[in-house]
Order: sequence, then C-alpha cells, then structure tokens
Amino acid sequence: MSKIHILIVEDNPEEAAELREYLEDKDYTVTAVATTLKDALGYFYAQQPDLVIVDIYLGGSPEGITFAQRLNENEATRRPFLFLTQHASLEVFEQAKLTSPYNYLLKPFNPLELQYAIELAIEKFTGETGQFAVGDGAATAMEHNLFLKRRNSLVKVPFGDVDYVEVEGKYSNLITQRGEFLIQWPLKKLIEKFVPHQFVRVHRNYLVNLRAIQQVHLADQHVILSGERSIPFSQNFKKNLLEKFDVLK
Amino acid sequence: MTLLSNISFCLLFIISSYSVCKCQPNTIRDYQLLVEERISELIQDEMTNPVFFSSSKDIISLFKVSDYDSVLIVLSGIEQLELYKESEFYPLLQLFKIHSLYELELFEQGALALDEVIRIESRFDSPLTSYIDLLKLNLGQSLIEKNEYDLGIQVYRHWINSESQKDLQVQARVYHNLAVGYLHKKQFDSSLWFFDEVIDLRRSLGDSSGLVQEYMNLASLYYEQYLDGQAIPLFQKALAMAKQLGDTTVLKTAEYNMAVVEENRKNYAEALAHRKEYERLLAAEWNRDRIWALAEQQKQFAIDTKQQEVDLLAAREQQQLSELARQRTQRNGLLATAALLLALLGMIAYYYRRVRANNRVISAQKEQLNALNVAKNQLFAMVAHDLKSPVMALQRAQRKLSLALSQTDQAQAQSLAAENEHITSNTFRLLNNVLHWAMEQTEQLSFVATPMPVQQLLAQVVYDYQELVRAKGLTLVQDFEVAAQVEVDANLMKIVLRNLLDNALKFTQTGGTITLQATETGDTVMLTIADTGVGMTAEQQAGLFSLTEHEVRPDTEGRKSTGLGMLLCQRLVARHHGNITVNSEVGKGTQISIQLPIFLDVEVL
Repeated sequence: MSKIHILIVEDNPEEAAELREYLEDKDYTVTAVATTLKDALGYFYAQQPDLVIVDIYLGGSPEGITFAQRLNENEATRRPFLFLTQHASLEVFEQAKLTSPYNYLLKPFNPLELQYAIELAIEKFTGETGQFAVGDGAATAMEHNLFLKRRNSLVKVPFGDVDYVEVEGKYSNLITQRGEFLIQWPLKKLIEKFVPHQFVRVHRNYLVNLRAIQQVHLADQHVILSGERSIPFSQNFKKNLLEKFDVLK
Repeated sequence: MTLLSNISFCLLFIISSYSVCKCQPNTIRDYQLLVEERISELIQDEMTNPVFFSSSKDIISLFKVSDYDSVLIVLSGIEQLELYKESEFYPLLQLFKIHSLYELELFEQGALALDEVIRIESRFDSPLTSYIDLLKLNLGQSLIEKNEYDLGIQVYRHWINSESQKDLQVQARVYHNLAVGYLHKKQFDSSLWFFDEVIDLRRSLGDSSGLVQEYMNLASLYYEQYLDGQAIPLFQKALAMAKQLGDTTVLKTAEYNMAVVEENRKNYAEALAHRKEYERLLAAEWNRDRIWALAEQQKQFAIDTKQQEVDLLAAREQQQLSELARQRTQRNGLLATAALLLALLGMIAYYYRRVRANNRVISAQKEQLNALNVAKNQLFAMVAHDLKSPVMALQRAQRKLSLALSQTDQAQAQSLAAENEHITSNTFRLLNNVLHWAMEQTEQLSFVATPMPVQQLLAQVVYDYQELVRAKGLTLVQDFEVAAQVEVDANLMKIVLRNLLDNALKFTQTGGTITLQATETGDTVMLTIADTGVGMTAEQQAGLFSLTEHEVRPDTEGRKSTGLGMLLCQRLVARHHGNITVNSEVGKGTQISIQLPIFLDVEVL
C-alpha cells in the first residue's frame, strides 16, 4: 500500500494550507503546492501525482482551466483533477465544462465534501461513477494501482504489492507484505482486473501473484509463497498454473 | 372677212360639240381583255419560235401596264421576222401596235398600220373586227381633230365599208365628222351629201337638237359657197326649230348665225334683234351659270356654315366631355381622398386603441415592477440592516478583545474570539444567500445536476453543524441511513439544507432538539429538518415564501432575520423538481420537508 499523491495548485496560501491539512488528515500525501500555471506544470511532470486539485483562478485569471486542458492534451499523462472555485457562476463553469472529466468543489468546503469530491474525480476518470458510494472495500483500478476505499479515505494499492487474493463470498482479501485490504468486487471483475497484472487463479477462492510463488508442491497441491505462506491449489486450475510456469521458463 | 372668221368659229364650235364620239374606255378594256385571252390561247398552242413567243408574251404584259413605248420597241424587234406576218398573232399584235400608236398620238403612222391591217381584215374573227372598228373610229376622229382630213376621211371610209353592224348614233357621228372633214377640204358636194345623210339619220333617230345643228351646219355649208338662197331659209328653219325646242345652247347659236346672216344682208335691224337675242341668251346662259355658281357658292357656304356649326357642336361636346371627365376625376379624387382619410382615421383609431391597450399593460407592468422594486428595496434595506448589526457587534467585540488581550485576560479573549467567529459565520451565510439570490434572479447561477447518495449529501451538510449544535446545547438527531440517490446540483441543494439548519439552530432554545431525517416513499425521498423551537403562526407561515409579505422575525437571541433564505430555498428546490412544505406550531417547533424525486441508475451494481 502507498499513499495517494496529490498536487495542489492554489495561489491563496491560507486556503492551500487548509487544504493540505484536510488532505494529510485523510492520509494523503501532498506532493507540492503550486501557485502558478508554470510551477503547476513543472511539478506535475516531475512528480506524476495521482490527482491534482486546481483552483480555477490563479492570480485573477482562469489559468486552472488552462492547466487542466494541458493535462488532457497528452493521453499518457492524463490524471484525475478537481477544480476549486469560489463562485458557482455560470461563466466559469461554461469554461470548466470544456475540460473533461469535469469536476469541481465550491469553497468553502469541509473534509467530507473534499473526500467526496476526490472520490468522484477518480471515479469519473476511471469511468466507474458511483463506485465508492458502496463504502469500505469499494475500489477502482487506475493503471498499475488499485484505489481502495478504507475508513472514509482512499488508499492506493499497486497490483504488484498484492501477493494473493483470497475470495470470501461478497468480499475478498488482498494480502500484501504490509497488511490486508478488503475489496468488494465480484469474482468476475477480480479475475478480469488481476490476471493482466501477472496473477493466476490457482483455486476457486485464490488468485496468486506469480512473482510471489516460490514453490509449487504438486503432491499435496500447495503453492508456497514467500514468508512461508501456503495456498492450496485445486486440480481444476493445476493446468492453468503450470502453463504460466512454462511460459516463465 | 368677218363672215368667214365667224363661220369658221361656228364650225369649230360645232365640231367640238361632237367630239364625244370616242368610245367609252371600259369598252376598250373589254376588247383588250378578250384579245389578251385570245393571244394567250394562241401562244400556248403554237410554240414555234421561242424568241417570238417570249416577245409576244412581253408585248402582252407591257400593253397591260400601258407601257406603249416598250410595246412598239419590242414589236419592232420581231416585225422583221418572216414568221411575224405569217403568224396567227400578226393581226392581234398589229392591233396592239395601232392602239399603242394611237395612245402615243402618232395618228398618221397608226392610220398607215391600219391600212395594212384592213387588207387582211378577212382573217379576223368578230371580236377582233369590233376592236378594229373601234380603232378606226378613234383614229378617224383624232385625225379629223388634228386637221389630217385626208387620212381621217380614209379611215372613216374604211369604217363605213367594213361589213360589221353599224350603230346609227355612231354612224351619225361618223357622217357628221366626214361632212366636217369634207367641208374643211372644200369638197362641198361630199360634205353636202354627208350632211344630208346625217340630217336623215338625226330625223330618223328623233334627235331634234342634233337636227337643228345639222341644219345650221348645212346652212353654213351653203353660206360658205355663197348660196345664200339655200343657206338663209335653212338658217331660219334652224332658228324656228331651235325656238320650238327651247334648247338655249342651240337657239343661241341659231340666233348668232341669223345675226351674222342679216348683217351681211344689210338688214341691220334684224341683225341687231338677232344679236340682242343672242346676247340675251348668252347673258341668260351666263346668268344661269352665274346663278348656278352662286347657288353652288351658297350651297358651299351653307355647307361651310353647317360644318362650322357641326364643328362648334363637336367642340362643345368635346368640351362637355372633358368637363364631365374633369368632374369625374374630381369626384374620384374626392372619393379617394375621403377613403384615404377614412382609412387614416381607422388606422389612427386602431393605433390609439393599441397604444391605450399597451399603455394599460405597461402601467400594469409598471405597477408590478414598482411593487417588486419596493420589495427589493425593502429587501436591500433589511439586508443592509442585517449586515449592519453583526458588523457593529463585531466591531464592539473586537474592541473588547483588544482590551482583554492588553489586560492579558485569556478567558475573556477566548470567549470574545468564539463570539466573533459566530458572528462572522452568520454574516457569511447571509452574504452567501444574498449572492445566490442575486445570481438566481439574474439567471447567472450554474445548475449541473448529478446523481448523489442522499446519505452523502446530508452527511456533508451536517458535518459543519455538529459543533454549532453542541455549542448551543442542542441535540442533533441524524436519521438518514437510506440507499436512495437524488439528482442534484450538490452546491445548490446544500445551500437549501444549510439555510434550513441555520433557521432550526436560530429558532431553537438551548436544550431543544434538531432532527435531520430522510425517508423513502415510493419514487420520492423526503428530507425533513425538524426542531423543537419557537414555531410560527399561520400568518408567518403564509408569508414565508413571499418577498413582499414576509415578516422580520427575531430569533432566540433577539436578532432579526430577513427570511431571504426561505425564498431562496423555495426557488432552488423548485429547480430540482421538488417541493418544500412547512409545518409549524407556535411554541412547539417547526418541521420543514423537501420532497425530491429518487434518481434511478440502471447501471448501479
């Protein structure tokens, strides 16, 4: 697991400080606070944050929108972003709407509103709107990472960090070196999202990261992972597992 | 000398009176037509020589257009041909030649050509014979008139010798002309013979005037030969006959002749009487002519007068017509003007009515606007008032805070700071309402509805109130664990909810309870904010959503509020297709409910 990295683009230092406080309370990492468009772009490309919170007005002009437009220009560098604005005025929104996905938060806001706005920004970006509404265990995948809802906040879990997935009915456990995470995904979605990241289904209830496998005991049908952990594999999925190893050899 | 000159005068006079023996032109035309037909027939039958043929055709067409010179020229071209005299057209063409010569008044040559034709007369059929006779008559007369007596007599003799049937009138003329011709040639015997013949013919024709003339001619003939014994009785006879006839023209000549004769006989008295009679007749004739001329003139004058009258009448009629036209034009003009004026009047009336109607609408609108303006001004006054008191309170508190800080009274300073924060947050809310109201009214407010869980919405709003509620010693009950989503513009719906919570907070005394509840009923969700506060009277409730009628109510701390928030709430809920209802009882509390349609997302997992 790692923290979600957020870049703040805000020219009002007090507001930036308050925002930073809120974010850090929620265990997010603020990578930097940019006060100009130029700085913002510089930080963005250098730090590659997971999300950007942008004030629409920088120094009196709507440069936040320009920033968002620049972000959208390159498919590879696209990231979710969130507009901050003082007024719900039509003029500004008409411009902001041109940047897609369009998401904004009206000042002043409380931590709940901020959290909701962040979740919404990520949902819209991954195209899974309403995903986080289900509460703990809600998750969405973005590139090599899973964004998981946990205790009214979001955490980032890279697929690579997960050793194996243990399916337990409606919920599943993601077992990593740094702890376990609950994920509320149907099995079909789990397979669909994990298999491309070098996971193999070895059992009705287990998906294993190929990287984590240290030994395969064909006799007693167990897979030994690092840290002496042992997972059973079923006859049905034996072929599935061995194929992967053939490929790896 | 005088006698001779007189006689010659008399003779010339006589001849000219008979010079009408030319045939009628239409008769000549008829013959010509016949001849043309005949020639056409012959030409078609006999196409021996092309030159001859075409020349003959030319002659016919030239003759037709009376180009006699050209006829003679073309004829001279073919006359030398052997064929010409042998041809069947020869007599016909020759007749054309004679006719052309005659028309060109080359009578002698015509007579020569005629001689030639007469030699072969037997070859002609009857229409051509008649034509030849006609030419003979015309030539004979013309020659005699031209004093070519020998040729004329010769031609006439040919006419007399021809076997054709003779008209007696024509014969009489021919004989007369011959007699005159011989008289001029002094061949008195021949002349006498023809005169006798003419007298016989006249007598048998019953032509008395002609007979008198002939008697006088005969008498002149005798008189010319000094045969007075024969001449004078004839003159007397002619005079008696003329007197009997009453023909003044003949009588005048007879009298004149008698006057000459008597004068020559030295019977001057007789001569004078005849002369006088002659002059009387001449004068009578002249008078008759004069009278006739006068009558003519008078007639002409009468005609002219009549014409003038007619012209005058026509002019008058024209004038009347033009007058009538002018009157008609005038009338039409008047009518058109009247119609135009009427139309103008109608238009003016119409526009006047429209203007009046417009004015009525405008004045109604103006009243409405005035009322609204008054309300708005009231609102501004209240807003200003609302702003004034907290700002003054803030100023006061700020001064106290400075004092407390200078006295290092920590507790007092803290309390004052808290007070200040409270005041400023209230003021901020008021400003926020004013701003949103203004934006809503001027349609500048952005409205973007997105689905949102009701629970999330309420939680976000209530988050800011937990501390406030606790500070005022109130209990906050949260009961909104529903799964429903609503499609809302989160910012606007939050303004509504905050206003309602602010009010609940304001009008509820310490120890009271504020409940925030959400309940699903069918396809709507009901958000309820209930308090155990001061409540409202029915009048207060009724005026809650009216800009003009709402009252300013003091809250639990004695502060007044404009109630602008409630108006704003109503407008915003309406934009979410929702309903806002108020339920309140004085002393017991207020319950405000917002009903919103549930958002159904078919894609929700």
